Amino acid sequence: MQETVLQTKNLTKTYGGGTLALKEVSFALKKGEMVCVIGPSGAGKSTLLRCINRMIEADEGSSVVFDGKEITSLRKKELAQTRREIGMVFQHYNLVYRLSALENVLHGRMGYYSTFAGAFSLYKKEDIERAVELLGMLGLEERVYFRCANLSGGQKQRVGIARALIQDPKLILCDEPIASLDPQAAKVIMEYLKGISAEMGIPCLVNLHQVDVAKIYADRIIGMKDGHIVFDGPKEELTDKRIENIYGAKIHEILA
Amino acid sequence: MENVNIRTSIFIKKKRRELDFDSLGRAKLRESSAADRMVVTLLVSFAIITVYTVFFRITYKWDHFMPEKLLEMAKGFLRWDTIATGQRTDMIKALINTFALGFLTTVIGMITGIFVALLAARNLTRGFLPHMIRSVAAFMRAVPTIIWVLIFVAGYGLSATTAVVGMYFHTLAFFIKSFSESFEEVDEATIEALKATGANWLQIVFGAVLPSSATRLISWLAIRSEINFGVAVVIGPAVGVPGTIGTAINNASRGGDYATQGFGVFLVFLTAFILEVLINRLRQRSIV
Repeated sequence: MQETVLQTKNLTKTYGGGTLALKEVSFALKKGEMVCVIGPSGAGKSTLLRCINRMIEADEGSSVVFDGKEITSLRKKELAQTRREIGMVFQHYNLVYRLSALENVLHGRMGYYSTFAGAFSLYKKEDIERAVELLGMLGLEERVYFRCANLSGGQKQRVGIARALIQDPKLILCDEPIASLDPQAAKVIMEYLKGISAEMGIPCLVNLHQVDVAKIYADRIIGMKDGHIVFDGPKEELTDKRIENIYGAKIHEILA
Repeated sequence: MENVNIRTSIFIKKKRRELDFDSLGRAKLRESSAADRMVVTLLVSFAIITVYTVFFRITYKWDHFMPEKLLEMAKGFLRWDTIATGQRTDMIKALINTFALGFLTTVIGMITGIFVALLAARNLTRGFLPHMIRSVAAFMRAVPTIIWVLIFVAGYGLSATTAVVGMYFHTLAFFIKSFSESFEEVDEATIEALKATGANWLQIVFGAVLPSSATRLISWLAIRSEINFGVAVVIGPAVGVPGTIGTAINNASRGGDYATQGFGVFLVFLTAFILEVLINRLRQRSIV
């Protein structure tokens, strides 16, 4: 058995106003696993991801154990240190567009520096070398000094992935990484994510809208509906019947 | 994909919805909003106030306007050859003084303003602090610069210090408002991305917030530089700061020296023009 990197138990989130976004979500993520989370908009996929690195605070009684640490009880400084070990990739890349690809990648290293060194970009030479190497691995060696504003969507997302990788993460969370990309760029990004989990052994938790994409790349699929997990199993077990259950619609009404 | 079957028609065929009409009998295009009513109210009030002031409040002495006086001024205005050389260099020195006055205030205001604005931006600082700073800044801005300067005359007397300190207050408040709003326009998602890597507050500020808002900050800085030059010009005669171009123009004016007056105005115009051109260049270049 592979070692468990992440284990959530009874993860519950109620937003102000009483909206229940997550209800007692429990699942585990093992080393090297690629897990896709599917489900309709508002099912709680984004909230689930953000409760793991506490960009959103879960309710009392929730438990998220990452790398042997209970994340929900960490203090501010410990939380920042733990966040360094969790990479995050976003739908809208969330880069600083005025800065170069290299500078954006190095942002992933910021948490390892003192406030002063980080604030004034006094990065170590080996980190800069590593950043250039990662950009090269992702096919961006010609774009190292490009302003991110001038990159294409797929290239921006690759910078986002490099920023996550330079953190030396033990887990990567991806929130709709291909939702804004054209089909070709989307395929490239999914292949990189697959490679990261399979070759580098870093587990990836990927929120997706496209069921067919999840079926191609995921080792395991989690289906969410109204804040619950309604399916959790290998992709082969995700039958049309179960997809209908997740989306609450007949299969012929779904573009999947 | 084999499951997808395209329906022959998804469009719903139903009886057409009847049009709605407004009070004037025109077909309605949208629900009337508070903003619409506000615009109408504003325009009507402007009209009423204009009519009232022009016809009932202003008693203008039309015969006081003497064209021959204007002609005399216009003739003298450009006779810069009648100005003594020493007088001319004095004017240029006064111009440099004035520019320095405005520049100094802008720079001090900007440096201090950036830090206060970070604490006044609601996406960077939580709690009551932003609200408090904004309230104080709003008060500081509501009091005109001239009044601030006049307040400090009591303590510092008639000097350049008075002008800088007085102008500083309004400048600081301006930067607090404009900078904090620029910071708030930075995409929350970019800040989230850095937070997720474990970066701390100052690292996020320097790594994401300042680079992302740099263009806007430069724009505001440029606008305030222009304003402060203008203020520095008029502040001289208003509170009697010696050695500024405003004071020099004022003195010339009182002595009926049209030529010196014209030369002073020309210098102010030239500086403002150069400033404007430089700023536009800078802004165009700094745009992402």
